[in-house]
Amino acid sequence: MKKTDGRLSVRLFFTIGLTVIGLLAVWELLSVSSPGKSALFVSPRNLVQTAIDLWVRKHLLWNLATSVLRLMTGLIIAIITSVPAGILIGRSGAARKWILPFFKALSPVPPVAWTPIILVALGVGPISRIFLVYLGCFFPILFSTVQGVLSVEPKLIMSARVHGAGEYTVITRILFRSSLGSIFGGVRIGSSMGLVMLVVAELFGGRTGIGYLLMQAKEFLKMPQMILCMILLGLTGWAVHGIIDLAENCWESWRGGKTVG
Amino acid sequence: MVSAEEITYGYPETGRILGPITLDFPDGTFTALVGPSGCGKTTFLEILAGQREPTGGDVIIRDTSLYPRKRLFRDGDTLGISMIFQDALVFPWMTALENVEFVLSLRGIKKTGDRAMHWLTKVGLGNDFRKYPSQLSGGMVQRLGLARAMACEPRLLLMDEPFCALDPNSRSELHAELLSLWSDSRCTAILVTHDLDEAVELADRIVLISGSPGRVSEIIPVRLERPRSRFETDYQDLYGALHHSQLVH
Repeated sequence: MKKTDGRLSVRLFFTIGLTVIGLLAVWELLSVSSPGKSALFVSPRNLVQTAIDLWVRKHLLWNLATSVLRLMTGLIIAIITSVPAGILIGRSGAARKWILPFFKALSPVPPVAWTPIILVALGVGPISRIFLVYLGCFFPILFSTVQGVLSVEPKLIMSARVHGAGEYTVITRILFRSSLGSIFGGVRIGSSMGLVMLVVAELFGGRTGIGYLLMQAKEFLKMPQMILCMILLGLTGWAVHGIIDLAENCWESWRGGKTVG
Repeated sequence: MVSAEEITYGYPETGRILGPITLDFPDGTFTALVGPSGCGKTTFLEILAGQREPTGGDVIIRDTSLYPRKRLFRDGDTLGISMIFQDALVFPWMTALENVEFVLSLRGIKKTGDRAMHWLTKVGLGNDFRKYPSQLSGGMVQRLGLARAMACEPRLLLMDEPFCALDPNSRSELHAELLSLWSDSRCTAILVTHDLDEAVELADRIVLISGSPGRVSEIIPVRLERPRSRFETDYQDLYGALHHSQLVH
């Protein structure tokens, strides 16, 4: 069984590899055969050249790391604050009555609309950028957690209570655990919103980050740099989703019905 | 002794749906509550379990009043009660072993592993302790529910139609297992069921509950030797009498 799995993985790896190489070849051919539109048609070779250039002269890695750090910091702070808040709101009728309407009133405001006021209030330093990412992540995670807690089978809670579970255990071992699927869904949406907010935050002022490099490329009409930044942002989002999927597979392995040990 | 005293339950919109019910459950007895769907059997059981505040009346367990009941922040508030539910309600993200260990740890029991394995082996899940409930059959999940409830060595075992979703073979196997575990522990057992056969096969006495609002209509002692066979004349006579009483009420 394992051998078959291994063979399938190798086959999949080669299929994906060949597809990527094929697409790059078509891309290269198209850009070479359209010399008049070279400003729009950037060839893969051009992109590699730009990446090397940026790496050497503009600390591409440093800018990428800065962006990733901002995204992850905002996302983690959002998880730490919104998951307990969501569980509290989902568990308590009073919290749903008095606190939830406040968040519901704030949530329709597009996170991007917060940018000017946050930049004025907190300045253009790292705190304002992380706070903007946090704002993007917070609401999707909060509402998914509330929904997750509300959809927990009440008899499951009774099953724990009748066997002696206190409120703390009900919250940590039953509600949180049962809502994890919803929470992961919220984190996935939140991380995408956080990435949008990261780019917006870096576009407005500041001198570091992939968003800044993108803005700079636009100022000087550097098409390869723009596309490279977009690719890097896409890869960042893909990697963050990958980490979330990995964590979900780890925590929610029981859904797949795998035997442990 | 567990006593339900003048228990009533109702909603503002629909009025009273249950009671008043006054019933005593002597220590070590096996009582079956039988009644039509919607007569409030499960509600009554949840009130006995301390999980639903009655509109009126109280439950007394060994001279301790159960209501009004506070929701405690810390673990361990059990009064020696265990419960088996209709769909087992084991925790799907825990393995069979973890499910039993979890309820043991809630009661402050240390070194839960050996004790949990002992009970899993007793119900025939000794080889499946690493499996998640989704990997077990319906009968095995109910066995897990039984192991989880009995591992706590309860003084009061409450069962809410635990076998109704099982096929006849699994059901009669579990009846035998339940009777064996109960006769070893001699806890007070209360079974809610709408299956007269199940009630006659298992219980020392059968309490018939009439429909809305649910009230005790008749208490019938079962004086048949165990194991009981539905082919015996006494069994069939009792079943016939119960069936007639149910139709009358």
